[in-house]
Amino acid sequence: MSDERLDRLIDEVARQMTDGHPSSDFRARVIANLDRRPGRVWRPIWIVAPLGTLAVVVLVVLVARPFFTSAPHPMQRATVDAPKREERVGGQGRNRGAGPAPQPSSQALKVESRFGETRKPDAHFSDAAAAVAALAPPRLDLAPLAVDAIGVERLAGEPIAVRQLDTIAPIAVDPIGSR
Amino acid sequence: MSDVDLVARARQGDPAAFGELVERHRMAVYRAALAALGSHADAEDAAQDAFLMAFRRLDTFRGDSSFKTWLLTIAWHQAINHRRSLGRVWRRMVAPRDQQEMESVLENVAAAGPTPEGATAHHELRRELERAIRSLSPKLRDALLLAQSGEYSYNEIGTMLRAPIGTIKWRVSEARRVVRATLQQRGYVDVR
Repeated sequence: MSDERLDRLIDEVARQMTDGHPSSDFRARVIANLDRRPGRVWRPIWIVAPLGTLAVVVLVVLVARPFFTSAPHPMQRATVDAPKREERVGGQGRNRGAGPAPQPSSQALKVESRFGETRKPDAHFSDAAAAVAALAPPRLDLAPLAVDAIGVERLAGEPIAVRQLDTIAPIAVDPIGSR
Repeated sequence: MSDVDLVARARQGDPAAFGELVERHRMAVYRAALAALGSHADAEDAAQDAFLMAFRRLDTFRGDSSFKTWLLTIAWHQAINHRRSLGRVWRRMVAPRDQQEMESVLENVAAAGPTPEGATAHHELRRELERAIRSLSPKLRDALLLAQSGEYSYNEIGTMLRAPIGTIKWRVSEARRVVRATLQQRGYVDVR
């Protein structure tokens, strides 16, 4: 099929796609509505858009809520349970190390949140941190390592002889136009 | 009586004069809406809204262009607003195309082939052509449908679509080219 023939067919189909007539009472309906005051046209967008925005806000709040609440993180709750498990085993955890178990310092008890800010822990968390510290191995006491100073010996070798360059006699040049 | 005279009388509160304007231009307004919306029911609503809006804005008609051009601009904006409305988009997603409308269009086509097989092939080709036209980008599709409706001059189409006449002509030509390419890709037309 040639392009010209196909174009004619395209035009014909396009014409039929816009072929139609308004209903027979179209004019009467328009005239009947002329006196109708232009009320607010109900548009679904005015309803759906605020509802959608509200839904997004609620979703964001629900998702972000765990990050802002003061409830202990699931990992923190796990550390609270740790001493109980030890007691069930026989309480050997505290005696595994030779030295005394280090007590958690106030610095160590500071909790760093996910956002990098440091806040003072509550009593509940202090107990948990102490339990974790009790599980820590004893501190190792080792003598400091002695390291000898590194000495640099003088290098022995033949001196490098450098030949003096011949001196060049200066060249006398007469100024231009002196003769 | 000219359109300008009818407008003047309608401004003075003569509904019959505006009724006459409706009678004169209802086909042009309706077909513009149909080109934009593709649905007879939506086109009728949009055309009616366009006439009502034109009536309320009669005072803004200064006569710089013809009344028909001024009216078509309003009608086109009304139809485009209708096309963009969320409800219509939703309905189009739920029910992509009114099957009865599709069938009525295709019944009108009634392609006459020499044999039943030829008629069926021709019918299928036209159906595919309509699909290809509907899948065009809005700019190309609007230009093609308005140009081929036979109701509007290129000047009127340019005013409606807010584009120069040269651009409108290019869009019509480009629309045909894209439709041809689409049909060739689908194997309906022999690639020469």
